[in-house]
Amino acid sequence: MDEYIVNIGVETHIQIKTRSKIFCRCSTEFTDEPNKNVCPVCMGMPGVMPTLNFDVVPLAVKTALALNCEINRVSGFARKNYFYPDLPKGYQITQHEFPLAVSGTMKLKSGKVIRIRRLHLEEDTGKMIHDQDENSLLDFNRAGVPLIEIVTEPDFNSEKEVVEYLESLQRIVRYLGVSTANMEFGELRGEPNISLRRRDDKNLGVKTEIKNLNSFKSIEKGILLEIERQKNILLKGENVISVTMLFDEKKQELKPMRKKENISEYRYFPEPDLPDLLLSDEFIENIKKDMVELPNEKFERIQKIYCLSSEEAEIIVSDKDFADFFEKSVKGIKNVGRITKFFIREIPSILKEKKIGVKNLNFDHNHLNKLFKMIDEEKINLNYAQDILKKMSLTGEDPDNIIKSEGENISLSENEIEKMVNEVLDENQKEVQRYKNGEEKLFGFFVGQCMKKAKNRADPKIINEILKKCLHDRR
Amino acid sequence: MDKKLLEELARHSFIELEEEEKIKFLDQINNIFFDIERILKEVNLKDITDGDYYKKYLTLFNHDEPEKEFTTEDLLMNSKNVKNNYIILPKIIKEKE
Amino acid sequence: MNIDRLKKSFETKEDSPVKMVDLVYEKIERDQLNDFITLSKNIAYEQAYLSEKRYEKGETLSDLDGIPFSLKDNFAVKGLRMTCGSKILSDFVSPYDSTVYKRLKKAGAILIGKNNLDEFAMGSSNETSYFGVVKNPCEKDFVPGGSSGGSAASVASDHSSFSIGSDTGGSVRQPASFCGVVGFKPTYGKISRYGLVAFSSSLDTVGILTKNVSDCKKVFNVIRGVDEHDSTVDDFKCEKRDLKKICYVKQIPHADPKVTELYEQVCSKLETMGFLVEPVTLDFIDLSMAAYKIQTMCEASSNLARYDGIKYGLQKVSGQDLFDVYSKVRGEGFGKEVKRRIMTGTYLLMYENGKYYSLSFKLRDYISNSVDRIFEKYDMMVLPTSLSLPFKIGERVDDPVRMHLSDSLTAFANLANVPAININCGYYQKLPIGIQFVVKRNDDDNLLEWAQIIEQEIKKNG
Repeated sequence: MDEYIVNIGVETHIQIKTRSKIFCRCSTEFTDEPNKNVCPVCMGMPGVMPTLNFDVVPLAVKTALALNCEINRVSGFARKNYFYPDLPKGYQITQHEFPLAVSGTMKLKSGKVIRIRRLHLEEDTGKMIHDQDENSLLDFNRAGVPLIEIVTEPDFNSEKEVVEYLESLQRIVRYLGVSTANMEFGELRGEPNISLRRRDDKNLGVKTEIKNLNSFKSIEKGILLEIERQKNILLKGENVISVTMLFDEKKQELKPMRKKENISEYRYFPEPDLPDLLLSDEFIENIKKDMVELPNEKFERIQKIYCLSSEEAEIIVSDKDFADFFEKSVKGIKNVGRITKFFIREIPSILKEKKIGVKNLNFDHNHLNKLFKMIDEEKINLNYAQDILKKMSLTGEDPDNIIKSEGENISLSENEIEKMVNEVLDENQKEVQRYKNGEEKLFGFFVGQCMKKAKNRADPKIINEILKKCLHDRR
Repeated sequence: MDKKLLEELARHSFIELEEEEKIKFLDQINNIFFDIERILKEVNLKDITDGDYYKKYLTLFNHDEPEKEFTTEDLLMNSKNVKNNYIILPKIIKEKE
Repeated sequence: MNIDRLKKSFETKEDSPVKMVDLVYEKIERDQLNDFITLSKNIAYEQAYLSEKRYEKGETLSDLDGIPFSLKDNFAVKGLRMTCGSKILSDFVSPYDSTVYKRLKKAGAILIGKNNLDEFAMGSSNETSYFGVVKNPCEKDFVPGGSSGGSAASVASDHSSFSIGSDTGGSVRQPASFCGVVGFKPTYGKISRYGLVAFSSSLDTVGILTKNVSDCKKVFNVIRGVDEHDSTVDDFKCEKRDLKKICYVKQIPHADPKVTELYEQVCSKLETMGFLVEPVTLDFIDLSMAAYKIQTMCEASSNLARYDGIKYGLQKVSGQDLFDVYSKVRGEGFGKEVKRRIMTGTYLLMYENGKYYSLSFKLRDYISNSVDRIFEKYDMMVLPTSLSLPFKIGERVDDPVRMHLSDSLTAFANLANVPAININCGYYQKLPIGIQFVVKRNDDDNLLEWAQIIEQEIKKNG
């Protein structure tokens, strides 16, 4: 790969989470019943006209602001003309010459800045599926669902950068409440365009586009395959032809789109049925005021004030609800570092096991905060706290109640521990004898027995010390 | 415009033409173009200010509240080939390419 | 079938909406003008009975209650066929109502049927309709004009009291002129286009055809105004003014001498009525034809892309591939005029990145500015509606250049977006000749007031 530099630009479509479609009043709710959420407008019946659902605008503006874009005070709609069965009108209403926003940026972890060329509004197409009898079937439930399209400059040099960008984008729109952005449901669709050029060549090479990438894995794989394919062509001294490649998820391979489906000529022109969209400074200022903290801002702040490692902070900010939950739960906790691991291991594993989000846990941040305070005040040890957390996740009980109902003290005093250790040693005289005879690896066995008896109410470190002392006394 | 371009145009417009139509259309479309170009040559369009003939900005907006006025049946009644509320595309007899 | 008189006869029980509908259908049957593609008898009788009951109770809904009307067959009515005069939609049944129809229904008017038209409103003689040509009621070998030919013929022959048409470059005014009725094209954005099948979206206007100007006003006031389905409509109105200064055009190239003669008579009459009448020159007529062609063809190529034979309309069951299916459906479903315009429009949009389409907006700016300048000085402009008299059926088919000439005095009003109305001002033998009155943007109500005064004066003198 040394000989060639890879340049990748990405076009991303994100479904905006509104209740009704962008140009009619049909519901956007997902349904299994085909052609249920349709009307003459989104089916492209003769004589219909579009009217704009205004609620898409603030959501798109928020996204544009999060990507440091300039918002155009006047933007306009246009028709993108092409024939395809899933396109009811023979054209798609989009924005062309005057997009909603332009000239944004996104910073990657490496510090590299990706330039965003434009962000605009458009309508989604219907869906075409194929049945067992090899019929092609049309469903227009998705036709007219609002989309934002975000186009970057060809600033990416690897598939890893593209994936990082898309992951960040996904996180941003989720933070903003703009979209659920699940790739497997097509709510976020990334289409990379790729070109290779010789290291000494200043001009970009011929680019190809990849479609049908439904996961981050596919994106990575698709781009790698395409780089490989182009490289082989160039090494043979041949020229890359501009085509659209389709990624086959099952076979994990790329194949070029059929020629006739490969449209290059869209004959854009302004949509005569929709006057321009005018946004006031005040409108945009109000959106700015209402902006939530963005993932990267949160990352930096959380890492700093709670003294987290960047890995820890990364996991915590991966989801906005999760990060909020974290911050509420650690309120007033002095040593946050000690309990952070609950958010790295225990809680994520509970969520994963139950396949839910933090909002659906059966305990809330107040419960958790109580538990953490007990740790903070060293009333319980971490192991015991883990046990209580497990019980909380099962029963939803207050940690105080759990502890009380077990009828046990919060933790054992050193005297109590010593008493317990001696009990263990008395119960295991034979082993004590063997230990005395030099079989020192039995120490671990005693520790285990003590722990069992203490039911996690004692710090293993203290048990260790006392056990050593007692064994020594018996020598 | 020549016949080849006309045929390409027909493909772009997805309109199948008969030979006789091609000859006639070629002539007529060329005339229209000739006419347009002749007229445009005679006019000086510099320093024209924007006309006032169109509505400039959107003032009518939808509320983000779904409304269901039509049934699937209403919308599929003109489709001849429907299965389980899907519209079935015409059968492809054989792949050419 | 003047609306006022009809309404009075319903009120005095001299006549009834149901009897009226009977008579209308009998007359349509007898006259055989082919001015209707679909008759909506079920709807008409249902509405007529309901209206009759309202008259009995004295609870009528509006000035239009019980009044029979028709719609050009490019307006949607739920459950009724809407063909647009095309084979490709010859069996299409609309699943929804156009806004115009909804408002007329609410006002109690009675839908008689859907009028014949040039295919997708593209034409000036009604000869491009898949459902055949309409006969001019004044002289049956002659065309009724177009594209709202069926509408004009039906109003002229008392098949309906009024008809709703569409005017993109003269499609309401020119047939009104050819059939001797009133044809009004309002300012773009006064009447909702929702449910009017688009030909050229930036020029299409909903127009009204009636027997007289007073009726036209009544219909206009029922259907005008903001609509939740059309973002281009407003409620803007001009202040009421008196008509003082009128301008006319001295030399009109290519005009039939009989048209010119009547035109001059009308101008003199306006002078005797006490208005100041002065000549102006129009330098944009040629330009307007170029701009009109570019805009309508480009927009039509996009507006008519939805007719692909997949969801509705003419459908084919198979093909070599999907694109072959499209081409077959569209090749067979569209008539020659429509195919030529779609292809020219496609070419214009492709050619040098759509340079001509962008240019056509510049041309519109130019025309609009010139027209605005005229209306800074004058309240109204008088022009012949058509250069020619109605011509014989078949005479100009296959002569697109001459056919397009028939739009040459009307299209500028659509391009500059000003209102205009045709009034019949006389006849040559049996053939009607119409004169067009044009005013500035949004001055629709003044235009109708003034046109009514002029109409009365002309009728008085015969």
